Amino acid sequence: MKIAAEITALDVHYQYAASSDLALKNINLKIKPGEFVAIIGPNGSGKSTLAKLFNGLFIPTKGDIIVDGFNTKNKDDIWKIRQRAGMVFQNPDNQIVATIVQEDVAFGPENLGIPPEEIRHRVKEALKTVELADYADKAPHLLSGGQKQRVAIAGILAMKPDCIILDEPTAMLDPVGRKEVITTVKKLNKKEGKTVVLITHFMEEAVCADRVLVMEKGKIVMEGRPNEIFSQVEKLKKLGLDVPQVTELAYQLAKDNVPVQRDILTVGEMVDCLCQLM
Amino acid sequence: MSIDVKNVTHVYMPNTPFESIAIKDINWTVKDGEFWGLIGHTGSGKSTLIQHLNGLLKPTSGEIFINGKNIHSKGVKLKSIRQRVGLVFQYPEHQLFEETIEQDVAFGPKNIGLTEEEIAGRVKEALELVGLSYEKVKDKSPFELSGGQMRRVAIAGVLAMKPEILILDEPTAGLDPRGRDEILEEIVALKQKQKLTVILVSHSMEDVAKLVDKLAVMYHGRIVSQGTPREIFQDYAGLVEKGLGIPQITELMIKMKSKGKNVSSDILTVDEARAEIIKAVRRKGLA
Repeated sequence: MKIAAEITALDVHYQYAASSDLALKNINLKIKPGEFVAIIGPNGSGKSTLAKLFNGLFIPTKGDIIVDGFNTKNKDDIWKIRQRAGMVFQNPDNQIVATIVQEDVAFGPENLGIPPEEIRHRVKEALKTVELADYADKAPHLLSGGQKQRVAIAGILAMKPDCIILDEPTAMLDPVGRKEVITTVKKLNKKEGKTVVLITHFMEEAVCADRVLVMEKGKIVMEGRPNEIFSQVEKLKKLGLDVPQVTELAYQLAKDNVPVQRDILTVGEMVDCLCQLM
Repeated sequence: MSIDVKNVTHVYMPNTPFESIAIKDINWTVKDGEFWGLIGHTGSGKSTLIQHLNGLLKPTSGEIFINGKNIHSKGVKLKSIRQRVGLVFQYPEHQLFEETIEQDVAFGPKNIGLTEEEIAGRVKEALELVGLSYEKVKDKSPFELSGGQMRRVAIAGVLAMKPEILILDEPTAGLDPRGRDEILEEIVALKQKQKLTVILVSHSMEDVAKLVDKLAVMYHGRIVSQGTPREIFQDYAGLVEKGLGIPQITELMIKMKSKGKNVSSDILTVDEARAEIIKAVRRKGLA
């Protein structure tokens, strides 16, 4: 029987060679096909380690990661896994390898041994999806941060993955760049049906997900829909995390006995809520 | 200490096919004790500009004055400028290199010929200023620390030089919310304690709204506007056009106002919004 989940973690533990502590402990998790999962947590809580286990960059010290039925422990399947689960990292400049946008996007599929005709088609489609079709012949260093990061995403898309894992993809971007990348990620999930795992320190980004996982000290300590998670303002702050400003405002107003919903996540929701009060 | 930037232009690789104008016609005055935020899209020239302020880059044309003195005039030692204008780069933890935290923070002071005793004193003071206990961390390797702590050690290395102006290039990038808030609180406390002039380069509109007295906005190599955060964040559309934005809370209040609600849109923090909304709800209750 094919495992229903796109990515499954079964009792996963991970320990770095140089460390005496476990970086991950007892992780059990199913990420369903087409799901959008955000992972938040303090620095050093194990988010990136977990992401690197999802596509076999790291192999669990104990336990198993199964991607689309393939166990990352099985060396023969590692390329099948990496093709299915592509990763995007924080710094766009470290991920771009070619001097022309379309060559950069072609790098992945070229390494998969895909015929040139098919590569050209994929590159075109991928650039169209990230809305950079007009930039195919440009030099990547002339692009903005948000555009560069979208080129990196296109490079992953050209491998036709089912799942995209993004590790703080907006940490180095300006506000508009951040929006561009998140809009792209949402589109990949909603329109292209890709499974998305987004690691972020920006709480306004995590609210876009179907499900939020909160990590602390190598464990998953909270899990739920964004409104379930972010309405627990005090608990999140105790973990060293935060909530979007509008969620914080709702929390404060509720304390002042203003009848607002406690699980507001976006500006639009807050406007609707306040308009009923005044 | 004050900074005056007069008509500064910087061209990278001039007279080559790769020539590019990084910053153009910059005029900017930072007065003693002010807290400035510098915002702008990626590649707008922020990092190039701040590297001029301690003489790491020399203007292609134009002049930089520190306390009224042109730093590229004869007789000015750039070494002393660099000591007085401390620059904390992006991801400064990548520049840690010594075996122990004490040695790392001591690196700068050692190079300006202080006595052992003075150096030890400065290292201790600098580490405590960034919220690290000297006794606890001095013998540790900087690489054993968390990201936020490593960044503090790197900032301490700059503070140990006793700068009068502190410039920080995105000091909170990649940090979790608590790490971000802690570093920012330490910067505010430092500024007050040491009477520093501070320039904070940031992509976080929320952070600069909360902290700085004045903002300079860069766009394609130029400073296109300067003012208080209140003034700057009123131009939502203009900022988005320039790759920037406004704090989420300001966006909320602008949208409420545009729906015809009787609230001020001149709001920078959650606390201000809370007070404003309570006022409006009460008014409505009485009506």
